[in-house]
Amino acid sequence: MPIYPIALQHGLILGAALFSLGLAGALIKRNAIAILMAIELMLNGVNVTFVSFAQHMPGAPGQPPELTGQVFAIFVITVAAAEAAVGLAIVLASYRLRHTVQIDASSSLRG
Amino acid sequence: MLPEPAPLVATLLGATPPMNAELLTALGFYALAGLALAGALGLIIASDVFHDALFLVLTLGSVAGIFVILGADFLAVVQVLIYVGAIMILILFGIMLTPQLGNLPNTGGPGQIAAGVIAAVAVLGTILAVITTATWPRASAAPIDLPAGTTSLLGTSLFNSFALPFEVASVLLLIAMIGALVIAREP
Repeated sequence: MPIYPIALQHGLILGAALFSLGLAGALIKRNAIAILMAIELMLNGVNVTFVSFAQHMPGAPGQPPELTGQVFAIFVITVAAAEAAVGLAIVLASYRLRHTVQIDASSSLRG
Repeated sequence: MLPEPAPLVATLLGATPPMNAELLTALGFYALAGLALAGALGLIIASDVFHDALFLVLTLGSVAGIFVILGADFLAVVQVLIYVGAIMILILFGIMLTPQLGNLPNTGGPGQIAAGVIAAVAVLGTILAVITTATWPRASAAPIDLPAGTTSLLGTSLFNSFALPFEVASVLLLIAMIGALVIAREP
């Protein structure tokens, strides 16, 4: 793989690495807010993948590119914003109940 | 293959035009990618939630730069405005409003760490295997020539091909706003 121009695979590998690091963080962390941040990191890895694809997808002959990947990334950011708002509201409600944001404390459904 | 470093320095100093813009772009990409990965690693390793947030800002900012290099200028601005601006402020408010009693561990026990790392490595290995072996028949080998500003193209796409998802997204945001208010208000 040549170093430049930046090949499609380089962006995809970066996206995959960010996604995996976010996954590791979401599984390892114990603090609910840290887990939310790790999930944001995963969504960002997906966005890098989408934008990389958008840069390698030509439009129909004679037409400008449609930038479908970038449009998808906009929707991902929209959903991430909604997720962050609702997720932090849930964390605040849980904190008011248990006075901690450690996820180990939320075990009342455990049999 | 990277060329000799001496011409690059000369190029940076403007001594030998024409500038090798492609090489500089590639170097910027890899530098920003390294910063983004370092921030992501720091997010996992740091033991303080506030440090986690700062590392996340580093990663999100680097990804915004990568968006610029990948020809997504509008998305780069949106990334800075929404992620680094709005979502990080939200997360910092969340950290501020949930003070911790004592110094509780931020990460799980050794078993949880091992399980998380194994799962992440497995996912990464699977994705990398697919990326390196797939042929991508519809993707062009070289990056396509995107116009200098992608905003008008994005707007055209959003209001033609993606008009319905665009409207649904506005409803989703309204529902999320009301839902967050209902969940977080004092009972």
